[in-house]
Amino acid sequence: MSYAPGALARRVARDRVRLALVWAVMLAWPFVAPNEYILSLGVMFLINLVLVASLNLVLGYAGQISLCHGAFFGLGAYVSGVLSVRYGITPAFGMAAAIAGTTVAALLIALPTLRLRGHYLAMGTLGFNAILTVLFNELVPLTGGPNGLAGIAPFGLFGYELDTPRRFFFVAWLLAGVVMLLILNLVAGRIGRGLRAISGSEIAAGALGIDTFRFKVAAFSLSAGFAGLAGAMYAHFNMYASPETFSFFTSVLLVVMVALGGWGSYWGPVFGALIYTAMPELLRKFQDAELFLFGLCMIVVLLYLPGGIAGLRARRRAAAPAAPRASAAKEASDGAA
Amino acid sequence: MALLEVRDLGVRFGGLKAVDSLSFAVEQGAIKGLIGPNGAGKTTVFNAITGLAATATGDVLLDGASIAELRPFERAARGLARTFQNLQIFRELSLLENVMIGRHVRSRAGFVASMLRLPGTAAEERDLEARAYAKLALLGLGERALEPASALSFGEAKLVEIARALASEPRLLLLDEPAAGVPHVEQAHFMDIIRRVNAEGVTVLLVEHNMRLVMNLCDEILVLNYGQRLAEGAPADVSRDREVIMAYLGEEPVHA
Repeated sequence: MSYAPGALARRVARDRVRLALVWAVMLAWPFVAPNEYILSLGVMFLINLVLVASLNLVLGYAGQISLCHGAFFGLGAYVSGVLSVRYGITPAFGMAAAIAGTTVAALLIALPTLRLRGHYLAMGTLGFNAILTVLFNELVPLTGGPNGLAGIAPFGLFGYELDTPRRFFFVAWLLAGVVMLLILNLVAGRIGRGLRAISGSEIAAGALGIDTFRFKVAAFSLSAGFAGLAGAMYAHFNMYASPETFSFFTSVLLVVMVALGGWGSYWGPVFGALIYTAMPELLRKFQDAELFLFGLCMIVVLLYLPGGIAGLRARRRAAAPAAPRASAAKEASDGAA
Repeated sequence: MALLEVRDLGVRFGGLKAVDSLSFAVEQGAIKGLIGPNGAGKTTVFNAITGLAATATGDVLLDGASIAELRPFERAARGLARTFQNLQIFRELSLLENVMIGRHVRSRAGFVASMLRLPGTAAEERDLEARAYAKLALLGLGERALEPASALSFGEAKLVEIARALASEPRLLLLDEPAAGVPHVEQAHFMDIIRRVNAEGVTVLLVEHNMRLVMNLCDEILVLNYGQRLAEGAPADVSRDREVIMAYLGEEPVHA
């Protein structure tokens, strides 16, 4: 792994090309999906990707346990959904309000809770998830309560309603692509390194001049903003939202997906979101065993695959015999998996 | 004028006075050694200077301005950099990224600029990378820039910590036992590096147990015992000081 000047900059460029290729391939989905149901799973994958990738920012990169990502997802869905159903606000504005609303809510939660560490932080965020679940259920005039919020308007573009999975797919594709590009740029640069430094050693990060508290609060709020966007996408795609979708269980499963994909790996959430989307469908016939199997997966990953699915490739590479120089140079400029 | 001035410093852990009304100064451009028996409070003094330990009394001045109320990251921005006795290297990151983080205070990109990777941000990244690589190359680790820090030996990791601390272009470098755990053959290399860094204008304060290294390297030595100053002066004088010999160096005088 010898070093050639500018290797890190080239690595970012390479990851961008990869991202562009993956996104280009994904564009084929509406044309190859055999039916609307399978097509809609593609949309759900993109929404889940935004969700898992945003959680990975806090959990994987900054190393802060957050057990309320499902609540931010829900807050985004309800902000945009309620604005649409009760006030007739256009989904595009609702979406912007959802992002702003969740970011501000996260900021208010972060200021007290991110002074906590480890178990206490987990409990603090858990409490927030519980509070929001209660609000979703009890603010019946706004949210519709346990019956859910029905009649959310579909996304529209120039008066053209994107009310089918096929039509909405392209919006989800674009939004998720933008989020993935923003995250790639962020984690590859100064801020990403700062977050990983905090995860590695908060003491060292502080001694090196990183304002650790500000960084954590900002990462947490940004992550929540993305989750809010995912929520709004979900609300206008599904045209319905109900409280149990955003329960504490969702938050826990999202943490599991970050771990399965690979903590702090840029491509990890792609695998995590794939599993998160496909697993319930595949395990539907097992019904109550679904959570059990999820749990089992988690244990297996923690025991045998600490780097998650994205970590597999790195492990294989490390296990391979020393490569000759030409391929060594290639690996040196290889992506951050 | 003194670059660092510590006045009447006191640090308490419960009822224990880890550091007790300690005053000393580090002159601009000097290499000063801080020695003393185990538990004398050397690392605690470092922690108080860098803001990791709360002080009960006293003041810390950098270039005449008090930094005692500042948080660690603010002190780093004022020109303090340190290494740690028990390595605090970012093991998951490459050597290059470790050193680039060291230059955090000299770079600017925020969350928004980073996400958009504005032209200025991309240029800053390239500059950070080049400078970090230069620092690593200086310490003989350039070839391994992309390896994860977890692949390093203890001695190499200590070198990377020094490179990381230097990346911020500090005014005062605090080295907490830089040569401890480093194989004997590499110690001359460490001394050489510290001298070179100092020659480039960085003032150094170091804690070290290796007497040969301290006596050779330092312009001035402060001896601590039970959190208080036992002696202070040129290496030759300190090594002849009766009390120091009794408390720390043993019965026989040490020949530097």
